[in-house]
Amino acid sequence: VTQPAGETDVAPVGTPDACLDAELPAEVAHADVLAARAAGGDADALRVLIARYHARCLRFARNMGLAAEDAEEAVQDAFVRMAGALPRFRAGAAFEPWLFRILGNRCRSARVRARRWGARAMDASVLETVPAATPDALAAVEAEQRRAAVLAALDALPAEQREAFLLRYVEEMDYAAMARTTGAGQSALKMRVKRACDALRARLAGAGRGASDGVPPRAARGSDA
Amino acid sequence: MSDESTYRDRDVPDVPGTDASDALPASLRAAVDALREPAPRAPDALARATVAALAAQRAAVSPAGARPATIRRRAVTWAMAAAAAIAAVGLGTGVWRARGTAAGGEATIAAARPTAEAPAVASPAAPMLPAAAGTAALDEAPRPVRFTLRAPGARQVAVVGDFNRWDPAATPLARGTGAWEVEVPLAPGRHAYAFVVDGSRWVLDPAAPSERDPDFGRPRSVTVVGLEVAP
Repeated sequence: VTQPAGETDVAPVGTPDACLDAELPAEVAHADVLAARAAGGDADALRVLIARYHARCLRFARNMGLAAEDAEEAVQDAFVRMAGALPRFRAGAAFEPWLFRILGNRCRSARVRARRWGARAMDASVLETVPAATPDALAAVEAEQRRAAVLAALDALPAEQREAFLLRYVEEMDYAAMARTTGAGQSALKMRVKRACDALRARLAGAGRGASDGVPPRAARGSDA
Repeated sequence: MSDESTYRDRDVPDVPGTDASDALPASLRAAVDALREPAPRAPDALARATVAALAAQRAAVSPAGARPATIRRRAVTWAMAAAAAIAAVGLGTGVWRARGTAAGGEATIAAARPTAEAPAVASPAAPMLPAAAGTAALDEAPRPVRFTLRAPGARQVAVVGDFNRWDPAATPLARGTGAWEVEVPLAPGRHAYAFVVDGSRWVLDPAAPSERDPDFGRPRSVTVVGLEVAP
């Protein structure tokens, strides 16, 4: 089976079956294949893997409750540990659950060290990376405010429920991959996701009813811009 | 075998309807959309991570190569790792011990407490350092962890946890001199566990902190392996 190499605009990722024997360029190879190549010493394969997963891992780390700097450090740590453990990566194994398992451990470790669960304010880093007083900046601030409200609700969840919810609905893993990532059984994971959904719905609905003006009005943040 | 199925059923129950209702609730779509937004990142974050990981890859694939160097925005507290290594050497053991006692034959967890004659026991929060402490921060490899339970009247003891899918048949303890014990390789991170005595009694480790299972409410012991090693 071969993968049409030209059809990469929408989904620049192959599938393990499609590219195991096809020697596709690293940019279009499946992550599992890239990991196997990286385990053999292929630096380009590792570069592509990191480029492909860095933003997602950073998002996951932030959603797990880490501050910006801690999240970047946890993600870098996870990639270093993953790369150092590559000799133990078996060809044909699933890379993504393995990476997120390492990353999850890094996030928990970072949270233990930094004690920064909860207490989340709008992240100033969004203002550092977007020029102020532009439509992009305002949109970024509004997006960050929306995220902050959701993250505040996530902060109230037990850590296991939070991780399960994020893996299922934000990272869009199936339960088999989630089980490999977390080490928990699929039924337990379904229970966690369900309870997380129930708690988030209740919390977000309560926030919407009781504090429609809970997010500080933009005028109050005028000095930021 | 009946005990095994009993515990499996209790720990991983069927959740009626979850398969059918697994779709994201409509009321949470906006929240998930917000969480899917890319996180802002420093301009050099990707480059730093790539350089550090490539160094780790070279060192791992070619053992003679240089050790990987992590590139951090904050000062690296290698002194902490060194201090932890010294502390670990001071323990005089290469194995982190989860140790406790339980009254055999009686279903009393409260009576269990660490024995006075027990060897030095590391706190569950203490790091378990592998032989090469200098490389521990870069190693995701499992560490051997010894679980010990004093249960003189017990006929059989097993440890169940997230590392063996809570299977009481997976990791039996052997009767040692004065205690039951087993050594289990555990990945760095946080692990929940408990002992099952005589196939029917759920016994917490009195030497470790405990918590309630967030899913099913059952108490369980908690240990953390190797977390403080990383600077």
